[in-house]
Amino acid sequence: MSTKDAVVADKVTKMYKMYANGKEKMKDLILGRSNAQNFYALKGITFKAQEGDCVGLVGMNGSGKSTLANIISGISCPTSGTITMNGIPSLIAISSGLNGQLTGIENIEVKGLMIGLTMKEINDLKKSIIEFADIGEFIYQPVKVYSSGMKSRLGFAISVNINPDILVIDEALSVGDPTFTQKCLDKMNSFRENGKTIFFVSHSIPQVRNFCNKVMWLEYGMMKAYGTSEEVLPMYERFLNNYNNMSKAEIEEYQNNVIENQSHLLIKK
Amino acid sequence: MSAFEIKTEIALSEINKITISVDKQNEKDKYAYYIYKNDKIIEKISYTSNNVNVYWVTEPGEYKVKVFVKNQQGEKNSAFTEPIDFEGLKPIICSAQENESSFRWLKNIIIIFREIWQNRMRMIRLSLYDYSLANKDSYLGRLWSILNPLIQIGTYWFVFGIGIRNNKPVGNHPFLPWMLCGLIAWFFFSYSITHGASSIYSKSGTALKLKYPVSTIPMGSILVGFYNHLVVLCILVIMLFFFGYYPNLYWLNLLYYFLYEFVFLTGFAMITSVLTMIARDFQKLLSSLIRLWFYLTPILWNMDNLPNFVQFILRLNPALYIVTGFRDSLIYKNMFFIHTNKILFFWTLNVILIVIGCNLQMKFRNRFIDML
Repeated sequence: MSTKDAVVADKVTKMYKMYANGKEKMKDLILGRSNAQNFYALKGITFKAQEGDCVGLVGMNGSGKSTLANIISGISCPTSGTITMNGIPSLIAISSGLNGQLTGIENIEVKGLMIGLTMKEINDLKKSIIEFADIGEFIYQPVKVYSSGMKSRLGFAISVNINPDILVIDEALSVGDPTFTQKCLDKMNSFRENGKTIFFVSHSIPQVRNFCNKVMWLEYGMMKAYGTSEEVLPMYERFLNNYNNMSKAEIEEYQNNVIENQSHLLIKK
Repeated sequence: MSAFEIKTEIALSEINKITISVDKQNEKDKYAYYIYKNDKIIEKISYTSNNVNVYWVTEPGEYKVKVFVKNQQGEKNSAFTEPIDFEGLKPIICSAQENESSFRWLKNIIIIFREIWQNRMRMIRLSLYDYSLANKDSYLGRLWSILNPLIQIGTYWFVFGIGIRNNKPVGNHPFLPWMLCGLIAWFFFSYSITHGASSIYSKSGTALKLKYPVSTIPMGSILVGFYNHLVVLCILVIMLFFFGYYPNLYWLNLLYYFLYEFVFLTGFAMITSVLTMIARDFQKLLSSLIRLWFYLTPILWNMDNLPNFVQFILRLNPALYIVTGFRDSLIYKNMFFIHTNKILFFWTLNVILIVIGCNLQMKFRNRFIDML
C-alpha cells in the first residue's frame, strides 16, 4: 500500500450562524453584524488520510459527520483551516445530486455532462451504470417516484462508475438491501486495492469494523479519536454502552461538560 | 514481590493521542489499563490481549496509566507509566480566509473568465441538454416554444395594433413588423432576466454537489434562452417576408446586437443570481418588475411624440437599445456604429455589470451551499 497522502486537513472549522428570525439574517447581510449565535459544526479537525485508506466516520447524531463528509468532498468550504485533496472527490449520499423531475437516464446524462464528460463518453458508461444500479424499468421513470433504496442505488452506481479518486459515502448504504450493500462493499474493496481513498460515514459498527482500516470518532464537532479501527472502535463501543446506561440527568451533564470544554477552546472573533 | 517485570512506554502524539505500550513477554499475557488524570482514575480498560493501547485526551492535566498484566498462570502484576503532561488543545482562531490584496477586484474577474473559458465545452454541452429538456413534460413539447410567442404576438397586435392604433402605420412602416422586431427581441431579454436570476438556485441541488463550476451557470442559462431565441427569430423572418422586408446586409448588424445583449444579460445574471441565492425574495421582486420594464420600453407604443427629455431618459434603458437595434437592422437600415454615444454608454454599463458580477460571484460562491 502506498503512503502518499490523499487528504490532509489542517484545523478545519465550520461555523454556522443561527439566526432567531429572517430579520436578524437580513441585518447581518446588510450591516455585517447581528446578535446571531455562532454554532460550530466542526472545530479544529486535523488529520491525514493516505491513499488506499478507508476511513470510517463514527459519532452520534449531530456530531458533524455529514458536515465533514461535505467538506472532504469539496462541496462545502471550511470557515477556517484548510483541506488539501490529491484527487477528485465524489460524494454519495442518499439522493445526492439527483434531480427528481428527470428520469434515471437523464440524471445519468446531466451528472455526466456536469462532471465534464462528452455525450459519447456518457453513452459508453450508461450500460455499466444501469447494470450496477439494477432497478429495471424504473430507470426510464422520473427519480421522484423512486424509493429511497432505488435513489441510493442509482446515486451509488453513477458515482462509482465515473471513477473518482476519493469516495465519500454518507450513509448511502444504510437504505440498500443486504445484496446491494454487499455489491457496493465489493466495489469499494476493489477501489481500495487500486489505491483510492474512501471515507465512510455509518452508524453500523460491524460495517465499519469489516471495511475500514481507520476510524475517526467525532463528538460535538470535535475529533475525539482518530486511529486504526482496532484502537478506536472498542473505545467508541465502550462509550456507547456507557451512554446507553446513563440516566437522563447524567446525559445532560455529560453533554454540558463536553460542550463547555469545547467552547473555551475557541476564540470568537 | 513481583513475579515478573513490566516495562511500559507512554507517548503523546497527534495532538491529543496517548499511546501506552507494554513489553510483550508472553503471547498469552493479558493487559488492563487504568487511566489516571491528576491522580484520579478517569477510565478503566479491562483485560485484553492488546499490549498497545491508545487513549485520547481533551482536558489539560497530568496523565499516567497503571498497567496490569496477567499471565497464563493467573499471576498479576501492575506498574505505573511515567506521567505525561498534556497542555490542552490549542485554541483555534476562527477567521474567514479572505486574502486582501491590491487589484483583488481585477484578479476576481480574471479568475471567473479563465474558469468560464476552461469549462466552455462543458457549459455549452450542458446548455444544449437543458434546452432539449425544456418543455418535455408537456404533450406538445417543443411546439410550445413557438406557440407561446405566437399567442402573445396575437394578443399584443390585437390590443395595441388594432384596438388602440387602428392599424395606423409607424412612420412609413406597418405596425405589425415594427412591433415584432421589438417584441421578439424582448422575449429573449425578459426570459434571460428571469431565468438568469434563478439560474444558480435552480441548479444548486446538482451543480454544487458535483462541484460544477458555478461561475459558468449564469452564462449557461443565457445560452439556453439564446437557442430558443434563434427558433423564434424564424417567426420574425417569415413575417417580415410577408410584409416585403427581405434579407440584406444591414441584417448582419444583428450579430453586433446579439453580442451586446449576450454580455449585458450575462453580467446582469451574474449579479441577480447571487442576490437570489442571498434572498429568494429578489427573484420574486424581479419577476414583478419585469412587467413594468416591459411597458416602460417602447415596444408596443411609439415614443416619438414624447418631450425630448423624457425620450432621453427612456433611451438609457438597455432593453430599448436592443429593441431599437433590431428595428434599425431589420427595417430602418441603419448601421450600429452611427450611434457612437450609445456604444460608449452601453458598453461602459456592460463593463460595470461584469466587474460587479464577477466580484459578487467570487465573494459568495463558497457560501452558496450554506445558503440553500
